[in-house]
Amino acid sequence: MSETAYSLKESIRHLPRNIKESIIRRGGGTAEQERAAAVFGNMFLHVHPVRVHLNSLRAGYTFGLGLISFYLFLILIASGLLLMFYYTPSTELAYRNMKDLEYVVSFGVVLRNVHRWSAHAMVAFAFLHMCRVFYTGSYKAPREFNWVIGVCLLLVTLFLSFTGYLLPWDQLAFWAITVGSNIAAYMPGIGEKVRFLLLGGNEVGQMALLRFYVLHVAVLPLVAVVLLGVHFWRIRKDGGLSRPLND
Amino acid sequence: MSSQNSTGATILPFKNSDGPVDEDRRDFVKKMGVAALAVGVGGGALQCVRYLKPNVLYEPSKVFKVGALSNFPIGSRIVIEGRGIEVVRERDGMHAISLVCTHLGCLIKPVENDPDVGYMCPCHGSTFAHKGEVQGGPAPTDLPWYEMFMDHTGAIVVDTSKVNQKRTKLVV
Repeated sequence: MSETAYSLKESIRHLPRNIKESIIRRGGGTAEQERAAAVFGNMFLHVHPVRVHLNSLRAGYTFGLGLISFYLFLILIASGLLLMFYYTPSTELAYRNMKDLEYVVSFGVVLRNVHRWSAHAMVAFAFLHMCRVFYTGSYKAPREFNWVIGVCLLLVTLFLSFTGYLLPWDQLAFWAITVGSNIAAYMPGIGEKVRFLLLGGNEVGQMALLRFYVLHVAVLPLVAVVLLGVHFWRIRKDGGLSRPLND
Repeated sequence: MSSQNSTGATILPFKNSDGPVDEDRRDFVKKMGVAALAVGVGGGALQCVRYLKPNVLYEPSKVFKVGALSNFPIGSRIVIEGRGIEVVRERDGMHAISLVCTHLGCLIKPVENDPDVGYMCPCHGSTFAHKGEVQGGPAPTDLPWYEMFMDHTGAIVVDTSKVNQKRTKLVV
């Protein structure tokens, strides 16, 4: 054993500091470098640039609409995950599970309404966010590609709302999806086939409920997360939040 | 040819191609590679789509009995619940008309005691005449009539998989 090895006592004494240093990597440097490292050395903060233009911080330039949409998405994931513990995508049980959430489960009615209103709000804020981007001309070069990603995200948001609409399995849900899937059937050429694949049959039944459930809780959220990642990354790569050119 | 750097790791040299590069050969291999990838990925995608198309449907049969003839007196219009059709019997015969709106698939309500309007859709207000012709609203086509017949037990049977294109009535 070498002379510099810690004794057991010393190891225990150094343990808290060792743990802290293993989590937060600080390589010394000037005070400013340390502050910068606090941001880019952190997985959750490094999405944000270390330095931003002063105008990027002005609330009136963006109204934070994109971030609000994103936070609503996080709320939807959290509340949706909790709702999944009490929901079964079966025509026999779905409606009763929904009623149980409303009348029997503690805080179930709160969760269901948080999920429902956040979903409505996310559509509204995604739309307002697009309006802001449009009216400030932020879709112009070099941000055209991010506008396209944004349009895809809006479609995913709408499709998430649409698939979630069937899950309570009440009359409103049934007829909304009947009408919605018939709109899809108007697509020229492949419309009827798309409708059949979407519903997993000719009518809104067990197969449709299961398909919409899988799309709603797995496929579409995954697509949304990937697109959100690209969307945020492109903001940085395209030069940060858009602002007046001569500012 | 090989040398060692300061850490002692062996560095192998890049193969120096002094001779001419066979561009045709590279091009061929590249094309073959892309083709193999396309076949693999494309085939996988097609199989996924095919997998999602169910071969067996646990849906109600499209051919079903609606009851004995005596249940349908002359002059009656009887909605068959859960089947989306109405059986109409008039003096000159009977027919089964679809109650699924040709616009977006809502369930149409028969209108009672109206000489002109026979059916109305609650969703977007399409109206149909007594024989199913579109009168107004967004519906693009008339309500179809379905084939119907009497089986050996004397029960009236409707087949919603077959549209009665000529709109002939069942005479019994």
